[in-house]
Amino acid sequence: MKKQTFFLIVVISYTLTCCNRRPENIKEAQVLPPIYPDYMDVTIPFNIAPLNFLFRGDADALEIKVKGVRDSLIVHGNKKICFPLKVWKKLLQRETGNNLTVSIMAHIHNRWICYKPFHWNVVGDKIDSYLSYRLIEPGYEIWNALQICERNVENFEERVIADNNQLNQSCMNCHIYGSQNGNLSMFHLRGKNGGTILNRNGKLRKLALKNGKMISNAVYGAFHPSGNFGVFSTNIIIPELHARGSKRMEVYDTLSDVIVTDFNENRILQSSLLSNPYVLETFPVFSADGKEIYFCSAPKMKLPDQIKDLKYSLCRISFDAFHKKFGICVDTLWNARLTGKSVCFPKVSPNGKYILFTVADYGTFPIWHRETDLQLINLNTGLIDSLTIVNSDKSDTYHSWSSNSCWFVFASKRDDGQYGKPYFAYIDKTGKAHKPFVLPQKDPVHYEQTLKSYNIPELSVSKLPFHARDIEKIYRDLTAEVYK
Amino acid sequence: MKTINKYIVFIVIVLWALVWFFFFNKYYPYHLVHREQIQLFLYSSDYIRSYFQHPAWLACLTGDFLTQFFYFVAGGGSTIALLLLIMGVLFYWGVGRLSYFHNSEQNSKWSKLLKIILTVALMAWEALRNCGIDYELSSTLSIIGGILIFIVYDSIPKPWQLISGLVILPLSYWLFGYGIFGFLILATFQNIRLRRFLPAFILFTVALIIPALLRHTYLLTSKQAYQLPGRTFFDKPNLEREKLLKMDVEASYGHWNYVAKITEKEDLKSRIASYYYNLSHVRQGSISADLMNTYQPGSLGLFIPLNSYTAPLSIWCSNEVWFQLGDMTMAEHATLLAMIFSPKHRSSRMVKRLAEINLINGDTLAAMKYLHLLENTWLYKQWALKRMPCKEDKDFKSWLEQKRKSIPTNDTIRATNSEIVSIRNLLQYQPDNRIALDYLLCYDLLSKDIKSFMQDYTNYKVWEKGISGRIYGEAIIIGLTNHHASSEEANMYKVPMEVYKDFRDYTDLFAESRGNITLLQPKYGKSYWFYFHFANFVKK
Repeated sequence: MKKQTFFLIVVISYTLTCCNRRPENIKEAQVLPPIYPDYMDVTIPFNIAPLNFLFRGDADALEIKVKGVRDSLIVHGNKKICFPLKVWKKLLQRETGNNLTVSIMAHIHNRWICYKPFHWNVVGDKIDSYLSYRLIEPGYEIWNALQICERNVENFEERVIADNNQLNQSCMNCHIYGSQNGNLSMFHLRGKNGGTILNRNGKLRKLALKNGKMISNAVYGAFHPSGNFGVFSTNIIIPELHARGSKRMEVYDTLSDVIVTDFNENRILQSSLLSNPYVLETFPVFSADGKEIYFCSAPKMKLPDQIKDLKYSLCRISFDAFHKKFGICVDTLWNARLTGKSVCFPKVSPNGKYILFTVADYGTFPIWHRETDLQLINLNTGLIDSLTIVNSDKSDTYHSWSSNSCWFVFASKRDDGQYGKPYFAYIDKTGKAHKPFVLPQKDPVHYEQTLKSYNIPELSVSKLPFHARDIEKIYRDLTAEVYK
Repeated sequence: MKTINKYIVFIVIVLWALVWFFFFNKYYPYHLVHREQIQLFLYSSDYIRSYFQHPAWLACLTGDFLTQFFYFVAGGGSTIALLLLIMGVLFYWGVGRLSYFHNSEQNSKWSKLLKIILTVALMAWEALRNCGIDYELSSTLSIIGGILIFIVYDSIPKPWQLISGLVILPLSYWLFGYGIFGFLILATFQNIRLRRFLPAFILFTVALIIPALLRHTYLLTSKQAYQLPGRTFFDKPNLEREKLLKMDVEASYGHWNYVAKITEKEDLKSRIASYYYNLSHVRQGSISADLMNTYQPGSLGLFIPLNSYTAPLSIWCSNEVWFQLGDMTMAEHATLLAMIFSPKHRSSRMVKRLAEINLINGDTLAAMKYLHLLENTWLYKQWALKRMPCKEDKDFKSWLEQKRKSIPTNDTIRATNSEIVSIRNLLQYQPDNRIALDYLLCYDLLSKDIKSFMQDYTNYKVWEKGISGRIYGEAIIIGLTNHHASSEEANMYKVPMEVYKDFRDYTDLFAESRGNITLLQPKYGKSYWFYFHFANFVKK
């Protein structure tokens, strides 16, 4: 018995010493640590989930010190670094407004190496707690398994709010919120029993957003701040493949118009200025006060032959929600002819101060264009920020704002050029953008191993009031409401 | 005597398992390799955790782990046979616990015989289900789990059985999915025989309710909830499909000469067979002579159109032609679709192909994504390490250089179903791409577009590239005849005189027989003239 106890003590002591190898004889390295995702020198909100990461080196032990002004924490590991949620939350709460210094020491080939430290700037501007996105394999035309998920960005909870496995494998388009509010959202469900699923305060409706004058069902859309209207494009979308591998796919419209839907009276409102047969109009959004519609516009041309000449400008038309009337002229805010580039996906910040949009060399839907970058117009000054610190050499697009207009999320293919991931960027009070960081995952190996792309990430202050089972029921049992 | 009987029973079960081992190894090995290729088992916590998102996690995890052995010669047959053996022994043991068989000592011979028959039948049923193209081993393990749980349940003292059963049922569903019904059938028989109708009814009801209750949690359809991880109730061997998979698997190994031999030998009337016939013969450089030696379903034997109606096996094979031609965007498109439409949306073979495509394109980051994935596997780790950028081995480097020569240097856009636009684009900037040239010419021929064939043949000066073959010669004669070419023009194409002579004989016979197909077929059935005259395109 004594022998067994002794043996047990030896084993436990050995295990403990192995696990908690303490750094000694440390060699300073003047390089930044090889970590993934790139969380170095990023600005983070105080309510974000732990920034767990991988160490991409041959270390057999790691010690990570996160030191702030009032608090600090030390974590050990060998490849994955995962911070305990409670300790992390406490640290961020106490260090809001401060810089955290992160020092990594790695035991490599029997030697401790201390890498150059980096910083996390913790800001008190909260990011909306919920993020919705569509998970889809980056196939180009045909889909199989799709899910729309909602993730709590303050921890690692993720739930599926629609799964096409239960919806006869139908295609589901991306889920969007109105005013970043979980009680107002919608997405298009295609297929035989499909329709636009509208969630207003948890009441789900299925809408057939098409009338005889429209060229297709409603496609890209956004809510009016009142929640009573939606603005949509109707498009004939053509997907084609590039011959050279780097761009992979070209998605362009041969026809497109913009319409407004009245969710209370089931009516579709149209304007000849938004359905000009010689012009392609798409990607509409309402302004923050709902009095204007921003959209992208390009002269119609012979496609695909002239695809490289297809360049969209950013335009604006007024909208009177009370009288349900459109303005009589279209203003151009950003002229493709003058810039030589093409704009898409304009998104107005909830405070009405900025428009964030995507710029590409050409084309309608350039998510596979590597040059696709985000830009920011300050609507007060008219100045354009090219967001150099935010953009990468791969596609950065599909963005949406946080309700306080301090954060935006976007899908970036920067890691591998193929799989989009949600990145968050901070805009401070002076309008300066900060280096973005990717949505943290419980297991930091997740992004390396997932074969799904995160599409249309959208932020929301509150949780969605429905479940996947509700969507299945509405898909199966409800007939879509007809629009006139 | 009892011991001898037990041995006999065991020997019968072992022999029956051996029969299936022999069958799977001899007649069905490529289905099993295919089943390994359509999954990607990762040794990572994130991946293992994904199994808990569905019921039957234990069966699925074990099944997918064991499926890796299908990669090896005889590995698939051995694994299935071993599981059938375990299933047989457990079932015999489990059935033996039923009081029907306990209380029938006076009929012990018959009861033993009945038990053996039931055991053999169950093993056969499960073996036949394993003949499905994407049948999952987890399905077999679910049944084994269900039987095992019954044995545990039956060992519990009778007064506790109902309560234990109520605990076991959700546990059983969680671990083994539809294996719950294996348990339920045995437990119901037992309870009814013991006249415990109420417990039988309660267990039966609870077992039926559990999948319905949990299906929303696991995001399943009603059907899936009751049959997961199984997909089919019954299947049977499909030996023609085995031949197609043989072509496909051997092509994935790069054994093109062997693929050519198989396609010649089997001569199947199938689009996939023609696809591999054409591809392997183009690679050998013999398609200009051999095009008509097999069944040709028009241009569908050259390319597999991808749309929502394309069968999964066709989608699976479709990337190969683009990869060989050098059109990496089309190859990547087809490969991603093959992966998306594989049962678990991840496939070792397609991930390997995606890594290769991106390495050829020089898209290192994308290639690394796939190579990192493969690094986390048991079977493909070394494969991935040998291809890591900057750490490639010599053979792979030279292969890569060779492949990069055939990719287009210009950019254009085309629809995914514009095969001919893609080939012309490849040839425009790489006129020496011999595979693309043969494909272009064969496309013209199989579409009976002699005008385009003559133009392409002339534009690319095929006779100067050392490409000659009787079928091309036969088509040229049709082209020359169609536009009454001069003898100077005819000489340019260097068609052998014997082909002209045969053409005269063919036309004479055609005229004499008034186009009688039965008279022409014996001698000219494998000529292009015959195809040109008699092949009909039927729109389905």
